[in-house]
Amino acid sequence: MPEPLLSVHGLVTGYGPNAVVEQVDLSLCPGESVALLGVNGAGKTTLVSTIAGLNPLWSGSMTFRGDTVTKAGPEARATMGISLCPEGRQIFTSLTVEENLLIGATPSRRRRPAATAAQVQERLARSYERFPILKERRHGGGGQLSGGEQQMLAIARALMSAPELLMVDEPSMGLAPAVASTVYGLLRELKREGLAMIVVEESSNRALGLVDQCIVLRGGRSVLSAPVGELPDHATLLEVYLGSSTSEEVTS
Amino acid sequence: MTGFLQVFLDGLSLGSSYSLLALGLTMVFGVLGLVNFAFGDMIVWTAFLAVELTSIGLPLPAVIPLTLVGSVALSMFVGEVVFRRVGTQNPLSLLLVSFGLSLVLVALAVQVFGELALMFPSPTALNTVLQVDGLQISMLSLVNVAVAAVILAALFVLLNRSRLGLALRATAENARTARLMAVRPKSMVRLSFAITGVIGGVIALLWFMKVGTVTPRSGLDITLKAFIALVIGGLGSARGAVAGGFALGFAEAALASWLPVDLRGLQQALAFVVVVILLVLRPQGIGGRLLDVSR
Repeated sequence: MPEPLLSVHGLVTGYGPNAVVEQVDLSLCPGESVALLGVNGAGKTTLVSTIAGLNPLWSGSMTFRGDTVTKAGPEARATMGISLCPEGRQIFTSLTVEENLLIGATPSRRRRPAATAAQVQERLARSYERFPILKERRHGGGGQLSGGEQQMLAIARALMSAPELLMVDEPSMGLAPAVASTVYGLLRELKREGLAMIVVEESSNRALGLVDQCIVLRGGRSVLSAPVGELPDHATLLEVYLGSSTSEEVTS
Repeated sequence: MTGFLQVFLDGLSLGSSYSLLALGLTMVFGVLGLVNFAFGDMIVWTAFLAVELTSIGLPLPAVIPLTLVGSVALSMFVGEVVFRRVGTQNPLSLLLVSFGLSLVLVALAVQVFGELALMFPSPTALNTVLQVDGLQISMLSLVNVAVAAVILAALFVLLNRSRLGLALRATAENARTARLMAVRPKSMVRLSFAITGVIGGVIALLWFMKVGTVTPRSGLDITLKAFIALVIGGLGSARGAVAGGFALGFAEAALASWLPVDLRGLQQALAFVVVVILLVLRPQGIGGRLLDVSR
C-alpha cells in the first residue's frame, strides 16, 4: 500500500451555525482518482472547497503528501500542489485568456522550488498544445469564451501550477453533451499522465467511467465509499444513494 | 484657436492631477470595495509633513523622497490598522469608518497645526510661466503633466505586465478564486494601499505647490475631485479613472475660460451638473465597461 497523497479524516465543516459536511473520510493515492457524487446540496462543493482550504475544518484532520495541512490556508495548499477548478469555473473576465493562465502558475515557495519563468512559459506552451482554441483566443477576454472553452480554460489554469491533486467541480455543468465528452476526454488524458483527481458531479456515468473510487454524499455524510468495480448497478445507485426516487429531505 | 489650445493645456494639467487622484481611490476600491473619503485628508497630512520637513531646513531634494515615504507609511498604516480590521463583509461600514477617519484627521490637524493656512514650499523655478504664441503654461503644470505621465505609465506596466499586477486585478475581480492561485488578499490590500500612498504623496506635493498653502480643511476639495473623477470614469476601472480625471479636468478648464464672468462663481456647481448629465446618459461611467480588457 503506497503512502496516500491525500488523507482526510472525520472532516466536519459548514457555514454559520450549520454543519454542511459531517464526518467524511477520504483517502487518495498518487495517480488515483475519485468521483464525488450526490444531489444538489449534498455538500460536494463544500467538501472540495474545504480540501482546497477555502473553508476551515470544524473538526477532523487532513494530510497531503504526509504533511498535516489541517490549518493551512488555500494559498499554502495551492503552493503545495492542491489545485481546485471551482464550481462555475470562475474565470477572471477582466483578464485575458493568457493572463488567466499566467495567474494560475503559482509561485511555489513552500516545499517546492518556485516555478521559474522558463517553467511558466513551458507550461503555457503545454496548455496551448492541449487546448489550441485557447491559443487562438489568448489575447481575448476570459469572459468572451463559450461555456466549454471556459471550462477548458479553468482546467488549464488549474494545471498551470503543476499540481499533484486536481479537483474539478462539476466539469460538465451547463455543457452540451458533446462538449462535456471533450472535457472528460481531457480528464482521462490527465489521469493517464498520472494526475490524482477528485471529480465532483451530481450524477454522471461519465465520471464513473473515469475514476477508480466513488464516494456518494447525502446530507453532508458519506453514504457510500467504494471502488468503482464494486458499485451496485446504476439504477440502484440512483435510487438508493442519490435519492432520486425518494423524497428524503436533503440539508443544504 | 489659441483659446481652445489654452483650455486644452489647462485641462491637461488639471486632468493629470485628477486622474492620479481617481487612480489612488480606485486602487483601494478594487480590492477592498472601499471608497476612502479620508483620502484627501491623508494627502493633507502628507502635505503638512512636507511643510514641517522644510521648516526644519531640509532642502527640496530631501523633502520630496521623505514626503513620499511618509505618505506610503501613512497609507499602509491606515490600511492595516483602520480598514483591514473592519473587514470587507460590509462595504457600508468601511465607508462610514472612512468618514470617521476623515473627521479625526481634520480635527487632529487643527489641534496640531492650527486653523491658519501654512505656506507650502514651492521652488520659484516652478512658478515661472512659459509664454509661447500667446499660450501660457506654468513650469509646475508641465511638471505635473510629466509626473502624471510617468506614474500612469508605471502603473500600466505594473498592472498589465507583472505577476503582481495580475494578482491585484484578479483579486479585485474575485478574491476567493484568486486565493486558489496562491494570491493572498491581505498582501493585495497592502499593495493597493502602498500604491495609493505613492500617488497620495505625489499629489500632496504637486497640488499644494500649485495652491501655495495648506490648511487642515484642504482635504475635502481633493476628496471631492477624486470622487467625481472616479464616478465619471466608472468605479473600479483603472482606465475609467484616468478617463474620468481628464474629463473632469477639461470640463473645469472649459468652464473657467468660457463661462461668462458673472457665472464664474458657479463653476464648481456647473461641474456637478455636467457630472449629473453624464451619469444620466451613462450610469456606469465612461470606463464602466473598459474594466473588461476585451471590449
